[in-house]
Amino acid sequence: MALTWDHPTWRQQAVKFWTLLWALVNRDVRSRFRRSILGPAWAILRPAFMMVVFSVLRGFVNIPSDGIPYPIFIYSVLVPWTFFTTVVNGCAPSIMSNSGILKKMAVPRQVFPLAAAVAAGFDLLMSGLVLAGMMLWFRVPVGWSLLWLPVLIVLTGTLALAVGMALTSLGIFKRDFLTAGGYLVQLWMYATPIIYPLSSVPEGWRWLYVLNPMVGILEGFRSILVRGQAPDLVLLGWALPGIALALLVAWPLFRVMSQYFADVL
Amino acid sequence: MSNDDVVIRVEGLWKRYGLPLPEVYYKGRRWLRSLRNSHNPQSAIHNPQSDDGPWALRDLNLEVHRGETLGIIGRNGAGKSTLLKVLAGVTPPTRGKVDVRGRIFPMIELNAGIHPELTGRENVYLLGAVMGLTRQEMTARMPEIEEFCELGEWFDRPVWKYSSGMLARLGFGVAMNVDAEILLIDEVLAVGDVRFQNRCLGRMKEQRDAGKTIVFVSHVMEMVQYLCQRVVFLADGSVVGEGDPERLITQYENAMYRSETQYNNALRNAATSFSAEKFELRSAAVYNGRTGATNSYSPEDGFIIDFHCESMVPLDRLIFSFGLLNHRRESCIWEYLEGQDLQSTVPSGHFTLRLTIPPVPLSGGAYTVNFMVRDARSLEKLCHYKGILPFVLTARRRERGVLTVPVHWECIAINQEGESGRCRIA
Repeated sequence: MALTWDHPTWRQQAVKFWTLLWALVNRDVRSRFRRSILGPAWAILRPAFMMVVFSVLRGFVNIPSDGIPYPIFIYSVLVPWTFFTTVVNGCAPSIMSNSGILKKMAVPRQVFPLAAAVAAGFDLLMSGLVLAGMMLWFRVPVGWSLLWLPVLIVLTGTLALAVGMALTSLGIFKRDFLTAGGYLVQLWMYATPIIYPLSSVPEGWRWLYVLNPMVGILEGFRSILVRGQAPDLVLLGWALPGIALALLVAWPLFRVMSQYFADVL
Repeated sequence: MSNDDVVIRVEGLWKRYGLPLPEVYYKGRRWLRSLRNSHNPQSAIHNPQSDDGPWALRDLNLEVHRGETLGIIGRNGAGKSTLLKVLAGVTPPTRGKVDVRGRIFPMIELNAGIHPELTGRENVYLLGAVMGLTRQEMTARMPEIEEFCELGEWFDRPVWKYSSGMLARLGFGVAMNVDAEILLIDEVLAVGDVRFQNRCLGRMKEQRDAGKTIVFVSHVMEMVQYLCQRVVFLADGSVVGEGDPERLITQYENAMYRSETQYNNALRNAATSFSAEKFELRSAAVYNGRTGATNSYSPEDGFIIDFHCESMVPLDRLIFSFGLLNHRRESCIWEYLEGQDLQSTVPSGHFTLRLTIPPVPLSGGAYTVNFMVRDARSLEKLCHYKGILPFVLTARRRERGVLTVPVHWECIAINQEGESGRCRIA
């Protein structure tokens, strides 16, 4: 099998890719506000709702929070976590809802999950504003450590895209993978220090626990946004193998499988 | 033609939809099956890569030359759209080589990605991005696109308020402004009103005359004949004919309708058939009026149609009517007969009603027959068959009219303002 096209230059392709990416993000973000009363507020409400639920829950069961006020303790990581789950769960729908494009035009398929991720980044920004308000209220010391935020956001997005794209590659052909992916993300939340602190994980298991890349990332968010400190670099370092592995699996898988998306959609 | 002229070359293209998996996978499944139940035939699990079984495209070979307008015709499911998809790079070939030189642009149903909540203008930007135009290019072309779409103030209204024709115009307006050397066009002209269709057709002709290569898929044979210089006829995923449009269109129509000439099937399957208890059409056949053949008909020979009927009511109460329709469902011949003329010659309820049609200058193409029987007194419909007896009249030339008559054209000079001997058309 051989397939050759006279392709435009690398630069032209890159320009086209960005144009399409922005057009898709633009469409997704704009269309969400039309015919919606709360519009962007919904982006804030989801993590806020979870924060309230877990705060109430904490009233019944004793969950330690390392002496930090619980609302900000949990909201500071719920915001990036919501971003993570939105991206993971948004990959497959982005392919399916754009099947009209996918079946007619030879556009690079990775543009759709990527656009979904950027659109989710917009939600992240909105709920980040609320988080900023909370940080002022709880008088969190802020400093240069905030510069770590973009790094952590990119790491979260990369991992989420890798996981989401791997699930999508298989899930477009067999829907079981998408269903299982939904459960996986729910379980993942409890394997990550979101509602409880890292300190409550037994010492003997911690070596295994930190291999979950979201541990290092979310602990990083927490130290920046709650303690005003730079992330624990050792912890963050342990997250990198997981992210690299996810990418190494997901990217080639997606490249191969996405060729055949148009056949089955 | 030299080899440099070839812009699309397809060699031994096979395509089957779905994810191709290695043979090991199927071996494994067959092995599992044999463990569970040894009686089951192993062939039940096919490797989609193997030659047998259904293929969308089957060993297809094709060359398209620069600046050529190539028509692709064939029945539904012949693989036309699949071929365009493979050429567009939307779906990979299962086997074979596809070589495309130049910027290729598929105009296949153009509303990809449109969001109903966005306005026409916003959607045009999106469509442009999907079709590979940058934002600057889009902004530069926007006035032209706006003008082409002819949407007026609707252009800035949300698309969910649009009619389907308006929506299609939006897509076409953008597509017409994309620069590409090779255009793939699939039935897009079926949208919009006649005025818009004419504009699109004009634009396509413009593109063709500007030296662009066009691959055009359509079921509208007039359009194919009008636009294309060469035609490829696909059937079951392979090329079965290639060359002169007129010859191939005739071949296509003959094949298309001949395959349906199985009268009985047509009679049974005709959804529009109706038959009351009192009268039944048992079978029918059409013969060449000169040779008596049942597979080749020509307008010069005339034809004979036999209706084998069974009547449970007296013949003098019946009115028979017969219609001959061309492929556009236009009634070309319509005649009727009152039953009392028959009564003296036909004693029993079983009889054959023979209709002899003399040589008539009917145009070539596909024809079908309508047959109806009414009760003369109550005017109750006793039997009604529509679209039965499909047959093909072979004519040397493809015609658009109902009749093809040897007309004579002449230009007659009018003396005006002293000018003489010259033809003027005002």
